[in-house]
Amino acid sequence: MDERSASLLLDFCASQDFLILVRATEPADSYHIVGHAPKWLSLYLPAYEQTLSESVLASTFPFLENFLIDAKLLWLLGGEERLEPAIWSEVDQAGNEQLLQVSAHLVGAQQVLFIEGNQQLLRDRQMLFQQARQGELAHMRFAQSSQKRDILFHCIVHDIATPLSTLAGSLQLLAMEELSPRAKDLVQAGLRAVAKQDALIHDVLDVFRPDFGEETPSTASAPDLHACIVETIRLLQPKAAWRKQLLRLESEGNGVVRVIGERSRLERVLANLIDNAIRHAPPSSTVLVTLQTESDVAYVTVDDEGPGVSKEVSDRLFDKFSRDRRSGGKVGLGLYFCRMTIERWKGTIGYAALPSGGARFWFRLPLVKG
Amino acid sequence: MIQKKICMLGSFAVGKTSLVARYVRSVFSEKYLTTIGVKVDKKVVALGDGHPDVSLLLWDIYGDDDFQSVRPSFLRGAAGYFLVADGTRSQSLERIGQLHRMAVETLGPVPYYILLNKVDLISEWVLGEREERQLAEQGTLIRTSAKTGQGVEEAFQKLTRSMLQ
Repeated sequence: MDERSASLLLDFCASQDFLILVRATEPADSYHIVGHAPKWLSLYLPAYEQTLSESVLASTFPFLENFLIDAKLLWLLGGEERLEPAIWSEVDQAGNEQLLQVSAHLVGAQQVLFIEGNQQLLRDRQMLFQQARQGELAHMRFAQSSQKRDILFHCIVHDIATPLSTLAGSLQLLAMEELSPRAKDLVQAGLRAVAKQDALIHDVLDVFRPDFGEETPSTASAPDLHACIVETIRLLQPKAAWRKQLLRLESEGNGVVRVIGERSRLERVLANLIDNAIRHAPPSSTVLVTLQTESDVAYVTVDDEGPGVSKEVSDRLFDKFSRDRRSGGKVGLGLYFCRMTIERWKGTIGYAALPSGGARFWFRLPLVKG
Repeated sequence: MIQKKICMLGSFAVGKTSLVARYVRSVFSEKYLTTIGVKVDKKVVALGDGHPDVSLLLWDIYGDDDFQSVRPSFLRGAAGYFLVADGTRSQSLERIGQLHRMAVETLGPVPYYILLNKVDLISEWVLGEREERQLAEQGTLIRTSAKTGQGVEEAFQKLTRSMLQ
Protein backbone atom coordinates (compact mmCIF):
# COMPACT_ATOMS: atom_id res chain seq x y z
CA MET A 1 0.00 0.00 0.00
CA ASP A 2 1.44 3.39 -0.93
CA GLU A 3 1.76 6.16 1.63
CA ARG A 4 -1.17 8.19 0.31
CA SER A 5 -3.55 5.20 0.39
CA ALA A 6 -2.35 4.30 3.86
CA SER A 7 -2.93 7.84 5.04
CA LEU A 8 -6.46 7.92 3.55
CA LEU A 9 -7.29 4.57 5.15
CA LEU A 10 -6.14 5.72 8.57
CA ASP A 11 -8.10 8.98 8.29
CA PHE A 12 -11.22 7.04 7.38
CA CYS A 13 -10.84 4.64 10.30
CA ALA A 14 -10.19 7.52 12.68
CA SER A 15 -13.56 8.95 11.69
CA GLN A 16 -15.23 5.63 12.70
CA ASP A 17 -14.74 6.01 16.45
CA PHE A 18 -11.45 4.12 16.48
CA LEU A 19 -8.49 5.42 18.37
CA ILE A 20 -5.70 5.09 15.85
CA LEU A 21 -2.18 5.43 17.08
CA VAL A 22 0.78 5.51 14.76
CA ARG A 23 4.13 4.78 16.31
CA ALA A 24 6.27 7.89 16.11
CA THR A 25 9.96 7.93 15.39
CA GLU A 26 10.42 11.02 17.52
CA PRO A 27 10.16 11.12 20.46
CA ALA A 28 11.01 7.49 20.97
CA ASP A 29 8.35 5.21 22.44
CA SER A 30 5.52 7.51 21.60
CA TYR A 31 2.38 7.24 19.49
CA HIS A 32 0.71 9.90 17.41
CA ILE A 33 -3.10 10.07 17.39
CA VAL A 34 -4.43 10.02 13.84
CA GLY A 35 -7.24 12.54 13.25
CA HIS A 36 -9.52 13.34 16.14
CA ALA A 37 -9.41 11.03 19.12
CA PRO A 38 -12.77 9.36 19.81
CA LYS A 39 -14.84 10.78 22.65
CA TRP A 40 -14.43 7.67 24.76
CA LEU A 41 -10.71 8.37 25.23
CA SER A 42 -11.55 11.24 27.58
CA LEU A 43 -13.30 8.73 29.87
CA TYR A 44 -9.82 7.45 30.73
CA LEU A 45 -7.63 10.44 29.92
CA PRO A 46 -9.43 13.71 30.63
CA ALA A 47 -6.54 15.68 29.12
CA TYR A 48 -4.08 14.49 26.54
CA GLU A 49 -1.77 15.71 23.82
CA GLN A 50 -1.89 14.61 20.19
CA THR A 51 1.12 12.42 20.94
CA LEU A 52 0.92 9.86 23.74
CA SER A 53 3.98 8.37 25.33
CA GLU A 54 4.13 4.64 25.85
CA SER A 55 4.32 5.16 29.60
CA VAL A 56 1.07 7.16 29.55
CA LEU A 57 -0.58 4.44 27.50
CA ALA A 58 0.68 1.69 29.81
CA SER A 59 -0.34 3.48 32.99
CA THR A 60 -3.78 4.31 31.59
CA PHE A 61 -4.31 0.90 30.05
CA PRO A 62 -2.08 -1.63 31.88
CA PHE A 63 -3.15 -4.37 29.48
CA LEU A 64 -1.46 -2.52 26.61
CA GLU A 65 1.95 -2.82 28.22
CA ASN A 66 1.81 -6.55 27.51
CA PHE A 67 0.18 -6.20 24.11
CA LEU A 68 2.77 -3.70 22.90
CA ILE A 69 5.55 -6.26 23.33
CA ASP A 70 3.86 -8.48 20.75
CA ALA A 71 3.01 -5.50 18.58
CA LYS A 72 6.62 -4.34 18.49
CA LEU A 73 7.69 -7.85 17.57
CA LEU A 74 5.25 -7.80 14.68
CA TRP A 75 6.50 -4.41 13.54
CA LEU A 76 10.12 -5.47 13.88
CA LEU A 77 9.87 -8.80 12.13
CA GLY A 78 7.21 -7.93 9.55
CA GLY A 79 5.80 -10.91 7.70
CA GLU A 80 2.35 -10.83 9.21
CA GLU A 81 0.41 -7.66 8.56
CA ARG A 82 -1.60 -7.70 11.74
CA LEU A 83 -1.64 -9.02 15.27
CA GLU A 84 -4.92 -10.67 16.20
CA PRO A 85 -7.26 -8.33 18.08
CA ALA A 86 -7.35 -8.66 21.83
CA ILE A 87 -10.20 -7.55 24.06
CA TRP A 88 -9.78 -6.27 27.56
CA SER A 89 -11.96 -4.49 30.04
CA GLU A 90 -11.07 -1.25 31.67
CA VAL A 91 -12.70 0.79 34.41
CA ASP A 92 -13.08 4.40 33.32
CA GLN A 93 -12.71 7.42 35.57
CA ALA A 94 -16.40 7.34 36.42
CA GLY A 95 -16.00 3.80 37.72
CA ASN A 96 -17.78 2.10 34.81
CA GLU A 97 -16.34 -1.02 33.29
CA GLN A 98 -15.94 -0.80 29.53
CA LEU A 99 -14.71 -3.21 26.90
CA LEU A 100 -11.94 -2.20 24.53
CA GLN A 101 -10.33 -4.04 21.66
CA VAL A 102 -6.85 -3.47 20.31
CA SER A 103 -5.09 -4.77 17.24
CA ALA A 104 -1.69 -3.99 15.76
CA HIS A 105 -1.08 -3.53 12.05
CA LEU A 106 1.49 -2.63 9.50
CA VAL A 107 -0.22 -0.16 7.18
CA GLY A 108 2.26 0.53 4.46
CA ALA A 109 5.37 1.30 6.44
CA GLN A 110 3.42 2.69 9.38
CA GLN A 111 3.25 0.87 12.66
CA VAL A 112 -0.32 1.25 13.81
CA LEU A 113 -2.50 0.41 16.79
CA PHE A 114 -6.27 0.31 16.31
CA ILE A 115 -8.27 0.59 19.51
CA GLU A 116 -12.01 0.15 19.32
CA GLY A 117 -14.25 1.45 22.06
CA ASN A 118 -17.69 1.00 20.52
CA GLN A 119 -19.50 -0.51 23.49
CA GLN A 120 -22.52 -1.59 21.49
CA LEU A 121 -20.43 -3.72 19.13
CA LEU A 122 -18.27 -5.17 21.87
CA ARG A 123 -21.20 -5.93 24.17
CA ASP A 124 -23.04 -7.58 21.29
CA ARG A 125 -20.03 -9.76 20.76
CA GLN A 126 -19.92 -10.57 24.46
CA MET A 127 -23.59 -11.57 24.32
CA LEU A 128 -22.88 -13.97 21.46
CA PHE A 129 -20.21 -15.68 23.54
CA GLN A 130 -22.52 -15.62 26.55
CA GLN A 131 -25.29 -17.37 24.64
CA ALA A 132 -22.93 -19.94 23.17
CA ARG A 133 -21.43 -20.76 26.56
CA GLN A 134 -24.75 -20.84 28.36
CA GLY A 135 -25.99 -23.20 25.66
CA GLU A 136 -23.01 -25.44 26.19
CA LEU A 137 -23.54 -25.38 29.97
CA ALA A 138 -27.20 -26.31 29.56
CA HIS A 139 -26.36 -29.12 27.17
CA MET A 140 -23.67 -30.44 29.49
CA ARG A 141 -25.99 -30.38 32.52
CA PHE A 142 -28.66 -32.21 30.59
CA ALA A 143 -26.19 -34.83 29.34
CA GLN A 144 -24.72 -35.33 32.81
CA SER A 145 -28.07 -35.75 34.47
CA SER A 146 -29.32 -38.03 31.71
CA GLN A 147 -26.24 -40.23 31.87
CA LYS A 148 -26.38 -40.35 35.66
CA ARG A 149 -29.90 -41.71 35.41
CA ASP A 150 -28.78 -44.35 32.95
CA ILE A 151 -25.98 -45.38 35.27
CA LEU A 152 -28.38 -45.51 38.20
CA PHE A 153 -30.69 -47.68 36.18
CA HIS A 154 -27.86 -50.01 35.24
CA CYS A 155 -26.58 -50.21 38.80
CA ILE A 156 -30.02 -51.04 40.13
CA VAL A 157 -30.44 -53.86 37.65
CA HIS A 158 -27.04 -55.42 38.15
CA ASP A 159 -25.94 -54.46 41.64
CA ILE A 160 -29.22 -54.90 43.49
CA ALA A 161 -31.53 -57.11 41.47
CA THR A 162 -28.94 -59.81 40.76
CA PRO A 163 -28.01 -60.49 44.43
CA LEU A 164 -31.70 -60.37 45.23
CA SER A 165 -32.35 -63.24 42.79
CA THR A 166 -29.59 -65.24 44.47
CA LEU A 167 -31.08 -64.50 47.86
CA ALA A 168 -34.54 -65.61 46.71
CA GLY A 169 -33.14 -68.81 45.22
CA SER A 170 -31.22 -69.63 48.40
CA LEU A 171 -34.26 -69.10 50.59
CA GLN A 172 -36.40 -71.26 48.32
CA LEU A 173 -33.81 -74.04 48.53
CA LEU A 174 -33.67 -73.60 52.27
CA ALA A 175 -37.45 -73.89 52.48
CA MET A 176 -37.18 -77.37 50.95
CA GLU A 177 -34.95 -78.56 53.80
CA GLU A 178 -36.18 -80.19 57.01
CA LEU A 179 -36.75 -77.16 59.16
CA SER A 180 -38.40 -76.49 62.46
CA PRO A 181 -41.75 -74.66 62.27
CA ARG A 182 -40.04 -71.54 63.63
CA ALA A 183 -37.27 -71.72 60.96
CA LYS A 184 -39.90 -72.26 58.23
CA ASP A 185 -41.71 -69.12 59.37
CA LEU A 186 -38.46 -67.18 59.24
CA VAL A 187 -37.68 -68.44 55.72
CA GLN A 188 -41.15 -67.49 54.54
CA ALA A 189 -40.73 -64.06 56.12
CA GLY A 190 -37.43 -63.74 54.24
CA LEU A 191 -39.08 -64.75 50.94
CA ARG A 192 -41.87 -62.23 51.46
CA ALA A 193 -39.28 -59.48 52.10
CA VAL A 194 -37.39 -60.48 48.95
CA ALA A 195 -40.61 -60.39 46.92
CA LYS A 196 -41.43 -56.97 48.36
CA GLN A 197 -37.94 -55.68 47.56
CA ASP A 198 -38.18 -57.12 44.05
CA ALA A 199 -41.48 -55.31 43.51
CA LEU A 200 -39.92 -52.09 44.78
CA ILE A 201 -37.06 -52.40 42.31
CA HIS A 202 -39.47 -52.93 39.46
CA ASP A 203 -41.37 -49.84 40.56
CA VAL A 204 -38.14 -47.86 40.36
CA LEU A 205 -37.35 -49.36 36.96
CA ASP A 206 -40.79 -48.34 35.75
CA VAL A 207 -39.98 -44.74 36.66
CA PHE A 208 -36.91 -44.84 34.45
CA ARG A 209 -38.41 -46.94 31.68
CA PRO A 210 -39.94 -44.07 29.66
CA ASP A 211 -36.51 -42.49 29.33
CA PHE A 212 -34.66 -45.75 28.98
CA GLY A 213 -36.80 -47.35 26.33
CA GLU A 214 -37.51 -50.99 25.78
CA GLU A 215 -34.88 -53.63 26.41
CA THR A 216 -35.08 -54.82 22.82
CA PRO A 217 -36.43 -52.13 20.54
CA SER A 218 -39.08 -53.10 18.08
CA THR A 219 -37.83 -53.77 14.56
CA ALA A 220 -40.86 -51.90 13.30
CA SER A 221 -39.35 -48.64 14.51
CA ALA A 222 -35.75 -49.50 13.55
CA PRO A 223 -33.89 -46.23 12.86
CA ASP A 224 -32.03 -45.41 9.66
CA LEU A 225 -28.39 -45.36 10.73
CA HIS A 226 -27.34 -43.33 7.70
CA ALA A 227 -29.90 -40.63 8.49
CA CYS A 228 -28.84 -40.59 12.16
CA ILE A 229 -25.20 -40.05 11.17
CA VAL A 230 -26.11 -37.28 8.72
CA GLU A 231 -28.22 -35.53 11.37
CA THR A 232 -25.53 -35.84 14.07
CA ILE A 233 -22.87 -34.50 11.71
CA ARG A 234 -25.16 -31.62 10.81
CA LEU A 235 -25.51 -30.71 14.50
CA LEU A 236 -21.81 -30.98 15.24
CA GLN A 237 -20.62 -29.33 12.04
CA PRO A 238 -20.47 -25.80 13.58
CA LYS A 239 -18.26 -27.03 16.41
CA ALA A 240 -15.88 -28.70 13.96
CA ALA A 241 -15.90 -25.63 11.72
CA TRP A 242 -15.02 -23.45 14.68
CA ARG A 243 -11.95 -25.58 15.20
CA LYS A 244 -11.27 -25.43 11.46
CA GLN A 245 -11.77 -29.17 11.23
CA LEU A 246 -13.27 -31.03 8.33
CA LEU A 247 -16.05 -33.34 9.52
CA ARG A 248 -17.18 -35.67 6.78
CA LEU A 249 -19.01 -38.91 6.12
CA GLU A 250 -17.93 -41.66 3.78
CA SER A 251 -20.71 -44.10 3.12
CA GLU A 252 -21.19 -46.94 0.67
CA GLY A 253 -24.31 -45.24 -0.53
CA ASN A 254 -27.01 -42.85 0.50
CA GLY A 255 -29.62 -45.52 0.97
CA VAL A 256 -31.47 -46.41 4.13
CA VAL A 257 -29.52 -48.61 6.58
CA ARG A 258 -32.01 -49.84 9.16
CA VAL A 259 -30.51 -51.23 12.35
CA ILE A 260 -31.70 -52.54 15.69
CA GLY A 261 -31.96 -49.59 18.06
CA GLU A 262 -33.84 -46.49 19.01
CA ARG A 263 -33.24 -43.28 17.11
CA SER A 264 -32.64 -40.74 19.89
CA ARG A 265 -30.26 -43.07 21.76
CA LEU A 266 -28.45 -44.00 18.59
CA GLU A 267 -27.91 -40.31 17.85
CA ARG A 268 -26.57 -39.84 21.38
CA VAL A 269 -24.09 -42.64 20.82
CA LEU A 270 -22.99 -41.05 17.56
CA ALA A 271 -22.82 -37.59 19.14
CA ASN A 272 -20.66 -38.93 21.97
CA LEU A 273 -18.20 -40.56 19.57
CA ILE A 274 -18.03 -37.71 17.05
CA ASP A 275 -17.86 -34.98 19.68
CA ASN A 276 -15.08 -36.94 21.37
CA ALA A 277 -13.15 -37.02 18.08
CA ILE A 278 -13.65 -33.30 17.49
CA ARG A 279 -12.45 -32.43 20.96
CA HIS A 280 -9.29 -34.47 20.69
CA ALA A 281 -8.39 -33.79 17.07
CA PRO A 282 -6.05 -30.89 16.35
CA PRO A 283 -7.28 -27.81 14.48
CA SER A 284 -7.32 -28.05 10.68
CA SER A 285 -7.50 -31.84 10.76
CA THR A 286 -10.20 -34.20 9.53
CA VAL A 287 -12.72 -36.20 11.54
CA LEU A 288 -13.92 -38.99 9.29
CA VAL A 289 -17.07 -41.02 9.88
CA THR A 290 -17.56 -44.11 7.72
CA LEU A 291 -20.58 -46.38 7.32
CA GLN A 292 -20.43 -49.81 5.73
CA THR A 293 -22.62 -52.87 5.76
CA GLU A 294 -21.22 -56.37 6.23
CA SER A 295 -23.73 -59.17 5.50
CA ASP A 296 -25.98 -58.83 8.57
CA VAL A 297 -24.38 -55.91 10.44
CA ALA A 298 -23.73 -52.20 9.91
CA TYR A 299 -20.22 -51.03 10.71
CA VAL A 300 -19.49 -47.42 11.74
CA THR A 301 -16.06 -45.92 12.38
CA VAL A 302 -15.14 -42.49 13.72
CA ASP A 303 -11.51 -41.58 13.04
CA ASP A 304 -9.61 -38.55 14.27
CA GLU A 305 -6.06 -37.30 13.84
CA GLY A 306 -5.56 -36.63 17.53
CA PRO A 307 -2.93 -38.15 19.82
CA GLY A 308 -4.77 -41.46 20.22
CA VAL A 309 -5.19 -43.31 23.49
CA SER A 310 -2.49 -45.09 25.44
CA LYS A 311 -2.73 -48.88 25.76
CA GLU A 312 -3.19 -48.59 29.50
CA VAL A 313 -6.20 -46.32 29.10
CA SER A 314 -7.68 -48.00 26.02
CA ASP A 315 -8.18 -51.25 27.94
CA ARG A 316 -10.56 -49.44 30.30
CA LEU A 317 -12.05 -46.90 27.91
CA PHE A 318 -15.56 -48.29 27.95
CA ASP A 319 -15.66 -49.05 31.67
CA LYS A 320 -17.90 -47.20 34.07
CA PHE A 321 -16.26 -43.93 35.20
CA SER A 322 -13.24 -44.59 33.02
CA ARG A 323 -11.62 -41.47 31.62
CA ASP A 324 -9.95 -40.88 28.35
CA ARG A 325 -6.86 -39.13 29.66
CA ARG A 326 -5.71 -37.89 26.29
CA SER A 327 -6.62 -34.47 27.59
CA GLY A 328 -8.28 -35.11 30.86
CA GLY A 329 -11.38 -36.83 29.52
CA LYS A 330 -15.01 -36.08 30.25
CA VAL A 331 -16.97 -37.44 33.13
CA GLY A 332 -16.18 -41.04 32.24
CA LEU A 333 -19.75 -42.02 31.45
CA GLY A 334 -20.01 -41.14 27.76
CA LEU A 335 -18.22 -44.17 26.37
CA TYR A 336 -19.74 -46.37 29.05
CA PHE A 337 -23.16 -45.21 27.93
CA CYS A 338 -22.21 -46.03 24.31
CA ARG A 339 -21.17 -49.55 25.27
CA MET A 340 -24.28 -50.15 27.39
CA THR A 341 -26.53 -48.98 24.59
CA ILE A 342 -24.83 -50.80 21.71
CA GLU A 343 -24.48 -54.06 23.63
CA ARG A 344 -28.12 -53.93 24.68
CA TRP A 345 -28.98 -53.88 20.99
CA LYS A 346 -26.78 -56.97 20.44
CA GLY A 347 -24.03 -54.91 18.86
CA THR A 348 -20.32 -54.51 19.59
CA ILE A 349 -18.21 -51.42 20.17
CA GLY A 350 -14.49 -50.83 20.48
CA TYR A 351 -11.39 -48.74 20.01
CA ALA A 352 -8.42 -49.21 17.72
CA ALA A 353 -5.29 -47.13 17.35
CA LEU A 354 -4.82 -45.93 13.79
CA PRO A 355 -1.43 -46.63 12.17
CA SER A 356 -1.16 -42.89 11.47
CA GLY A 357 -1.40 -42.17 15.21
CA GLY A 358 -5.02 -41.09 15.50
CA ALA A 359 -7.90 -42.82 17.23
CA ARG A 360 -10.65 -44.98 15.78
CA PHE A 361 -13.86 -45.68 17.65
CA TRP A 362 -16.15 -48.17 15.98
CA PHE A 363 -19.37 -50.07 16.53
CA ARG A 364 -21.40 -52.73 14.80
CA LEU A 365 -25.18 -53.11 14.98
CA PRO A 366 -27.40 -55.83 13.56
CA LEU A 367 -29.18 -54.85 10.36
CA VAL A 368 -32.93 -55.04 10.15
CA LYS A 369 -33.80 -56.63 6.82
CA GLY A 370 -36.91 -56.00 4.85
CA MET B 1 6.58 -1.85 46.67
CA ILE B 2 7.04 -5.26 45.12
CA GLN B 3 4.65 -5.91 42.26
CA LYS B 4 3.65 -9.41 41.16
CA LYS B 5 1.44 -10.53 38.31
CA ILE B 6 -0.92 -13.46 38.85
CA CYS B 7 -2.94 -15.09 36.05
CA MET B 8 -6.30 -16.77 36.52
CA LEU B 9 -6.56 -19.69 34.09
CA GLY B 10 -9.35 -22.14 33.51
CA SER B 11 -12.33 -23.12 31.42
CA PHE B 12 -15.28 -20.77 31.02
CA ALA B 13 -17.79 -20.39 33.86
CA VAL B 14 -15.55 -21.96 36.50
CA GLY B 15 -15.62 -18.78 38.56
CA LYS B 16 -12.32 -17.01 37.82
CA THR B 17 -13.91 -13.56 37.68
CA SER B 18 -15.97 -14.31 40.79
CA LEU B 19 -12.88 -15.43 42.72
CA VAL B 20 -11.11 -12.16 41.88
CA ALA B 21 -14.23 -10.14 42.74
CA ARG B 22 -14.49 -11.97 46.06
CA TYR B 23 -10.83 -11.41 46.85
CA VAL B 24 -10.52 -7.79 45.69
CA ARG B 25 -13.95 -6.38 46.41
CA SER B 26 -15.51 -8.95 48.77
CA VAL B 27 -18.54 -9.29 46.50
CA PHE B 28 -20.27 -12.16 44.73
CA SER B 29 -23.00 -12.28 42.12
CA GLU B 30 -25.01 -15.37 41.15
CA LYS B 31 -25.46 -13.95 37.66
CA TYR B 32 -23.12 -15.45 35.09
CA LEU B 33 -21.57 -12.88 32.77
CA THR B 34 -18.95 -14.38 30.52
CA THR B 35 -15.54 -12.77 30.25
CA ILE B 36 -14.42 -12.34 26.66
CA GLY B 37 -11.21 -10.46 27.24
CA VAL B 38 -8.72 -9.78 29.94
CA LYS B 39 -9.48 -7.85 33.07
CA VAL B 40 -6.65 -6.52 35.16
CA ASP B 41 -7.31 -5.88 38.86
CA LYS B 42 -4.98 -4.70 41.57
CA LYS B 43 -4.78 -5.47 45.24
CA VAL B 44 -2.14 -4.63 47.82
CA VAL B 45 -1.47 -7.50 50.19
CA ALA B 46 0.02 -7.08 53.63
CA LEU B 47 1.53 -10.42 54.54
CA GLY B 48 2.94 -9.34 57.90
CA ASP B 49 5.73 -11.35 59.56
CA GLY B 50 8.25 -8.82 58.32
CA HIS B 51 7.32 -9.37 54.70
CA PRO B 52 7.02 -6.26 52.55
CA ASP B 53 3.61 -5.34 51.17
CA VAL B 54 3.00 -6.77 47.74
CA SER B 55 1.00 -5.17 44.96
CA LEU B 56 -0.77 -7.93 43.06
CA LEU B 57 -1.74 -7.46 39.43
CA LEU B 58 -4.51 -9.98 38.89
CA TRP B 59 -5.00 -10.95 35.27
CA ASP B 60 -8.43 -12.47 34.94
CA ILE B 61 -8.23 -14.13 31.53
CA TYR B 62 -11.28 -15.27 29.56
CA GLY B 63 -12.22 -18.93 29.78
CA ASP B 64 -10.36 -21.25 27.49
CA ASP B 65 -12.82 -23.16 25.31
CA ASP B 66 -13.67 -24.04 21.73
CA PHE B 67 -14.56 -20.43 21.03
CA GLN B 68 -11.54 -18.66 22.48
CA SER B 69 -8.07 -19.98 23.22
CA VAL B 70 -5.86 -18.30 25.77
CA ARG B 71 -2.82 -16.68 24.21
CA PRO B 72 0.42 -17.66 25.89
CA SER B 73 1.61 -14.05 25.60
CA PHE B 74 -1.02 -13.01 28.17
CA LEU B 75 0.94 -14.98 30.75
CA ARG B 76 4.15 -13.10 30.08
CA GLY B 77 5.66 -11.68 33.24
CA ALA B 78 3.44 -13.63 35.62
CA ALA B 79 5.12 -14.67 38.84
CA GLY B 80 2.41 -17.21 39.62
CA TYR B 81 -0.94 -18.49 38.46
CA PHE B 82 -4.09 -20.27 39.49
CA LEU B 83 -5.60 -23.13 37.54
CA VAL B 84 -9.31 -22.97 38.29
CA ALA B 85 -11.71 -25.90 37.87
CA ASP B 86 -15.37 -26.32 38.67
CA GLY B 87 -16.21 -29.42 40.69
CA THR B 88 -19.64 -29.61 39.08
CA ARG B 89 -18.24 -29.81 35.56
CA SER B 90 -15.88 -32.55 34.58
CA GLN B 91 -15.07 -30.78 31.32
CA SER B 92 -13.46 -27.95 33.24
CA LEU B 93 -10.87 -30.45 34.49
CA GLU B 94 -9.77 -31.20 30.95
CA ARG B 95 -8.54 -27.66 30.48
CA ILE B 96 -6.43 -27.74 33.61
CA GLY B 97 -3.86 -30.06 32.06
CA GLN B 98 -3.70 -28.13 28.80
CA LEU B 99 -3.42 -24.75 30.47
CA HIS B 100 -0.85 -26.04 32.92
CA ARG B 101 1.34 -27.25 30.06
CA MET B 102 1.01 -23.90 28.34
CA ALA B 103 1.87 -22.04 31.54
CA VAL B 104 4.95 -24.17 32.17
CA GLU B 105 6.14 -23.69 28.58
CA THR B 106 5.61 -19.93 28.83
CA LEU B 107 6.66 -19.18 32.39
CA GLY B 108 8.82 -22.07 33.48
CA PRO B 109 8.56 -23.36 37.03
CA VAL B 110 6.70 -20.57 38.82
CA PRO B 111 4.36 -21.16 41.77
CA TYR B 112 0.77 -22.14 41.07
CA TYR B 113 -2.22 -23.65 42.83
CA ILE B 114 -5.21 -25.57 41.53
CA LEU B 115 -8.44 -24.09 42.78
CA LEU B 116 -11.35 -26.49 42.88
CA ASN B 117 -14.10 -23.94 42.94
CA LYS B 118 -17.81 -24.05 43.83
CA VAL B 119 -17.29 -26.09 46.98
CA ASP B 120 -20.59 -24.59 48.17
CA LEU B 121 -22.18 -26.86 45.52
CA ILE B 122 -20.31 -29.96 46.62
CA SER B 123 -23.49 -32.05 46.61
CA GLU B 124 -23.63 -31.45 42.84
CA TRP B 125 -19.98 -32.26 42.18
CA VAL B 126 -19.33 -34.86 39.55
CA LEU B 127 -15.77 -35.10 40.74
CA GLY B 128 -15.14 -38.17 42.86
CA GLU B 129 -12.40 -38.72 45.43
CA ARG B 130 -10.32 -40.60 42.91
CA GLU B 131 -10.55 -37.78 40.37
CA GLU B 132 -9.70 -35.24 43.05
CA ARG B 133 -6.62 -37.26 43.99
CA GLN B 134 -5.57 -37.44 40.34
CA LEU B 135 -6.03 -33.68 40.06
CA ALA B 136 -3.94 -33.17 43.18
CA GLU B 137 -1.11 -35.04 41.46
CA GLN B 138 -0.82 -32.08 39.12
CA GLY B 139 -0.37 -29.53 41.88
CA THR B 140 -1.47 -28.36 45.31
CA LEU B 141 -5.21 -28.24 45.41
CA ILE B 142 -7.34 -25.79 47.35
CA ARG B 143 -11.11 -26.06 47.55
CA THR B 144 -12.69 -22.64 47.13
CA SER B 145 -16.03 -20.96 46.93
CA ALA B 146 -16.30 -17.48 45.48
CA LYS B 147 -19.84 -17.47 46.87
CA THR B 148 -19.02 -18.10 50.51
CA GLY B 149 -15.40 -16.96 50.39
CA GLN B 150 -14.13 -20.36 51.58
CA GLY B 151 -10.49 -20.83 50.71
CA VAL B 152 -10.22 -17.64 48.65
CA GLU B 153 -8.13 -15.49 50.97
CA GLU B 154 -6.04 -18.54 51.86
CA ALA B 155 -5.34 -19.29 48.19
CA PHE B 156 -4.16 -15.79 47.33
CA GLN B 157 -2.10 -15.55 50.52
CA LYS B 158 -0.41 -18.87 49.81
CA LEU B 159 0.39 -18.00 46.22
CA THR B 160 1.71 -14.58 47.21
CA ARG B 161 3.99 -16.11 49.83
CA SER B 162 5.16 -18.75 47.36
CA MET B 163 6.00 -16.05 44.82
CA LEU B 164 8.18 -14.24 47.35
CA GLN B 165 10.27 -17.31 48.18
